[in-house]
Amino acid sequence: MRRMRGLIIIVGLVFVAAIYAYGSEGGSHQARLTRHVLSTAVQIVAPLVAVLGCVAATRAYAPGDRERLVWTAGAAAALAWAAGRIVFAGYQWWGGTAVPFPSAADGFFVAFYVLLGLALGLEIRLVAPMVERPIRLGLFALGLAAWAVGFVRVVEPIMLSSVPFVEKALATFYPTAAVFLIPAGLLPALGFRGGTSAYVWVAVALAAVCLAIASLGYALLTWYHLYSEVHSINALWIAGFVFLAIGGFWQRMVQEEV
Amino acid sequence: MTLRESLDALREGPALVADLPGDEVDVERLVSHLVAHGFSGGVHLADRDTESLLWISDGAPRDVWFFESGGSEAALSGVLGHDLFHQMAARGGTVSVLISEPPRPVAMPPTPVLDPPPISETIQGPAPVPQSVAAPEPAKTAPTPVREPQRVEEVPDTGPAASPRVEPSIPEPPSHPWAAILEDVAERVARHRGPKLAARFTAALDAALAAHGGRLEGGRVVAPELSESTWRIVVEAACAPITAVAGRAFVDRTIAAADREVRVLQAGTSGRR
Repeated sequence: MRRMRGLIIIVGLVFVAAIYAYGSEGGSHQARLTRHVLSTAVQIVAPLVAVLGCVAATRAYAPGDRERLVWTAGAAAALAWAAGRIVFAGYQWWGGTAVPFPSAADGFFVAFYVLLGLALGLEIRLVAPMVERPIRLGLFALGLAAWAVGFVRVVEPIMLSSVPFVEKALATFYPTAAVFLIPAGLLPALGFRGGTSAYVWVAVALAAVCLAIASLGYALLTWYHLYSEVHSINALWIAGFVFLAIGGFWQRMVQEEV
Repeated sequence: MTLRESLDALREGPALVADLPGDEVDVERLVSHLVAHGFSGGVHLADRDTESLLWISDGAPRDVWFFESGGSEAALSGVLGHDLFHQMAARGGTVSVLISEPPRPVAMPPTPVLDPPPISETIQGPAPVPQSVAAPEPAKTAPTPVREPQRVEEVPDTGPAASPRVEPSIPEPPSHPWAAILEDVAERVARHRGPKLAARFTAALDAALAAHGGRLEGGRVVAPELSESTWRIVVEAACAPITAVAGRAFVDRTIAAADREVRVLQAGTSGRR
């Protein structure tokens, strides 16, 4: 219960900070600066909270348990994102320059998607035999449909432009990876449906939804040079990591309370 | 030559360590260490009722031999054998590390097919093994050295092994109410991981019970009198699908919780009587 209280307080603080950073516009120079600092901080703290959640989940397993590896990969993914956000902030605060795209931070962001994909892939390997084939195909179709919509609306204009290849590749990779994380998160939820563990994976799937929309939004805003540190799209990143953290802490709780 | 005779001959040979108190040794780490150093030989555990021997060769743990005080013996390979071995390690007893090359392939006969005994009849003799009984790895000509040049002991010929002895024995009584525990585990798994995994558990449990003359009837475990170690084999086999997904720690916690609840219920029932 004490652990739950701690989690609620941390999530509450992140939530309040996000509302302040993204919930208002304009204001004095001081207020804008505060929001900027808060936004930067909360975007580093949120994935770190997700790291804590995933590490908490790993501690409910014995060495060699396969799901332990799933949550370890999840923790590594969130840590990579936090590192990326620190590099991102470094460009702005210490470099004093606009963040180039792509930048060194993108290396960490790519690592995040690869590691999270690996985590969900490992879980799917465990759970897939418990999910009927039509449901698996349905989920894949859902991912494909979401990706097609995202591609037409966001990625295609970038692909048709004359920007460098790396930029095109990243603009395609982020939303594609994020969109397919949604069905990947839902599959374990369906495999465990009827059990308390299913809700953990609903939280992870919700994290994937937030990250997918944020990724598409980020690609679009970056393309039109509209992205800023205090843009409300960032709230979705934070929500994504908060859901991932909730999933991790929840998994720890249900895994220990059998 | 039976596994018991092979073990006895092996125990007369050299030992890296002998009869250490089990509660002072982390057997899992010891095995990992020996494997990492290319050790070839066996890790032997013994307590009052059971003995087990984990073979290590070619940088990997191999088969596990189990012996009961009643005289029955079995060889298990794969995760099931190793899990059971480590479970036995947790029970204390003594630990020895015996230096030897694994014996030549032992053509273990297939598990004798016994007609399912009537319910409540004691299963005598060796516990049928719910997994293919595999022979230890063939010996290599050049053993891997362990720190110092290793002495290669002549291991008595274990060539085609005789059928495990089927002789009357009084199996040690189970120390846990396993039937009720397993029924409770099924409910807990359904509650925690959903009915799909619970169904895989009950299917595995049914198969494991069938190998020992029992069955699952409408969610109730119906089994003849089985010894503690036979129950443990049933439990390991039944829990394998859960361990594969939810992990060993989850399985251990679930069994412990089920055990507690069943005992509380039984205490309540006997208190009212």
